[in-house]
Amino acid sequence: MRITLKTKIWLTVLTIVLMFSFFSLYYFPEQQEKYLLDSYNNEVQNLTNTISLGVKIALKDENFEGVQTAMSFVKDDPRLLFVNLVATDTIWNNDSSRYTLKDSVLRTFPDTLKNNKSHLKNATIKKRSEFTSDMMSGAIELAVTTENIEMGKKRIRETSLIVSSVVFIIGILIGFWLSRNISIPVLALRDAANKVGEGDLTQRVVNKSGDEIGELAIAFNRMVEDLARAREELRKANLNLESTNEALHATVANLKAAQEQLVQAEKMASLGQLTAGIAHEINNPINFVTANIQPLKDDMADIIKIIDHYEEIIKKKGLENEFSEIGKDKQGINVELTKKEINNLLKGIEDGAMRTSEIVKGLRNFSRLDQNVFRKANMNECLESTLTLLHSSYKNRIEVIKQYGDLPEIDCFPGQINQVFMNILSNAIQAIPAEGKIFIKTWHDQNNVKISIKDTGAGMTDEVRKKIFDPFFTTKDVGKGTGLGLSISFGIIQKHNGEIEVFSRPGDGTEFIIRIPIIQQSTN
Amino acid sequence: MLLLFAGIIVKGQETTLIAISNKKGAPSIMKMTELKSVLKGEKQRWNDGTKVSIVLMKTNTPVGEATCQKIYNMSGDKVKRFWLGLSFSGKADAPIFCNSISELETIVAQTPGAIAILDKISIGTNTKTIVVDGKNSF
Repeated sequence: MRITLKTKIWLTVLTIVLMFSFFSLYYFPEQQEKYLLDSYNNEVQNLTNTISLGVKIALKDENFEGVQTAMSFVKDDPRLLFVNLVATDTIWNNDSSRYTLKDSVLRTFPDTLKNNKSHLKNATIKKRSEFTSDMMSGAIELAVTTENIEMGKKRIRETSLIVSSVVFIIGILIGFWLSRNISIPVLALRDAANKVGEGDLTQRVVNKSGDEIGELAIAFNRMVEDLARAREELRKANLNLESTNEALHATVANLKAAQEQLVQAEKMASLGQLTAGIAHEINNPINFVTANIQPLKDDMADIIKIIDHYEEIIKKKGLENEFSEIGKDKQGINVELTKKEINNLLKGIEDGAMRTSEIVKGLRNFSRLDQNVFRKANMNECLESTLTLLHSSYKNRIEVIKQYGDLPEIDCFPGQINQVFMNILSNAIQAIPAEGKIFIKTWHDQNNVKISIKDTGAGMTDEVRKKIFDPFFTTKDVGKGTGLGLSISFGIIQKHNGEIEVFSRPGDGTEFIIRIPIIQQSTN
Repeated sequence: MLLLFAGIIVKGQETTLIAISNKKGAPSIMKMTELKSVLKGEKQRWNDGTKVSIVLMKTNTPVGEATCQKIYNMSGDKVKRFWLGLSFSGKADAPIFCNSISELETIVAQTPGAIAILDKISIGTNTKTIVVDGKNSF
């Protein structure tokens, strides 16, 4: 069980008070009463002995008045009940073999009293002092009341009760005083210490007493002041350390970002070279296809026209028998269907060649090796090139709604701009889990081209939105995103002296708006 | 012891005693029985109303011993005990026991109604000898 300091103080005070009360109410009165009674007994016995001696002397002198005088020695004593002069006679039996002693009262004082048992009350002391003279053997019996003793005992008890009450009240007052001067300041110190422990170093304890508690309060206040000073110094040191740390972190992050950007740029450069190589290698053969498809179609049309003319002449001039061999061949071939199929095949070849040509064009646009030199480029074409490359990841799932403005060509690093579009469009496609739409709008004012890319994806919270341009921040699963795409994009747009803004709310999709100056002041 | 006691008694019996009194109170002539009655406290007042005061020699004196024997027919201690009982029971005032004849005579002379026993004739200015059974001594 926990016993508080206040309880201990009260227990101590109460113990002392109760012990004092025990001594003053029980022990001391008992001792005093015992002492009083003993003294009284001795006094009465001495008085009895004195009377007895006086009687003995008077009897020896045959002075009966002296006997009377001796017995009257106590007559004025208010405590006196009676004094007896008792004669003790020896009475022998008939054959003088045994005897008995018989007391007979010769004289009683006061005269009105007989030695009657009724005079002996509880509050009575009866003493006997024997004497022997020539005349007789006898004794003086003296009975006195103990009422004054009882009165004295009563006064002692009353005094003890009053003293105990006073001591009890004083004890209570001392308890309050101790509680106020010890317990309360200690509790205040405890509360202050708790608050200091919780970090509140403004706590001070007010105690003007000059005792140990007061010194403790002064020491506590000094300690808190020292603590506050130390904490302030620590805080400042911590701030310095934090700023140093932040700078260090920023430096490390910048280094890391720079490294990643370098790696990414290198990768993009390699990819660009590879893509450019592939595009170049494919471009030549596909050029043969796209360049020859139209003549082939024309030639096929001519051939079909000639064949149709031949059939018309044969039919008109009735030469079927002469060309029966051809008729036999025709029986196994559906000529009309074949002609249609040829047209369809040629159309498919043409479409495929055109598509391949567009892909190659997109690859070439995307992989331009132009990191160090601003070039003129059309943002609509850049967007198209990027969409072409991403086509397989959104076809049949996402509808891309384009609203291209008539844009002037701008000074830019087209490869890097393509990289920006690639990052934003990839995120937009990934933000749409099933089916959805991506709105792409471009426009321009006098100085800037603006591109809006908006998706109907999941959107993002403000907290996420504020961090999306931070390096290495990603909401994707581990291994699926580096967290560098938008950071790099931000850097690229900054490099173009432009701006990139993002608007998003959870469930409402996300919109990126990019502004890029049409003409760059520095064309390094 | 018995012989000694008997000797004392004989000695007591041999002593001649005289009764004297203050001029006031006691009569000049008395019978022995009347004297014994007075000396045993049976009579408290004289005929004239004066209070009887008994004055005796101490019991350890020859006159006292003789008085005890002749008047009280007791030993000295018994006489004292006798008077102790009487006086403390309030039946009579105890005698005044004197150490000397002169003291006794003085007390008798000064105390009206006083009566005393001694062993010689004493003629004081305020005392008289009482004739007992027609004799001055007994």
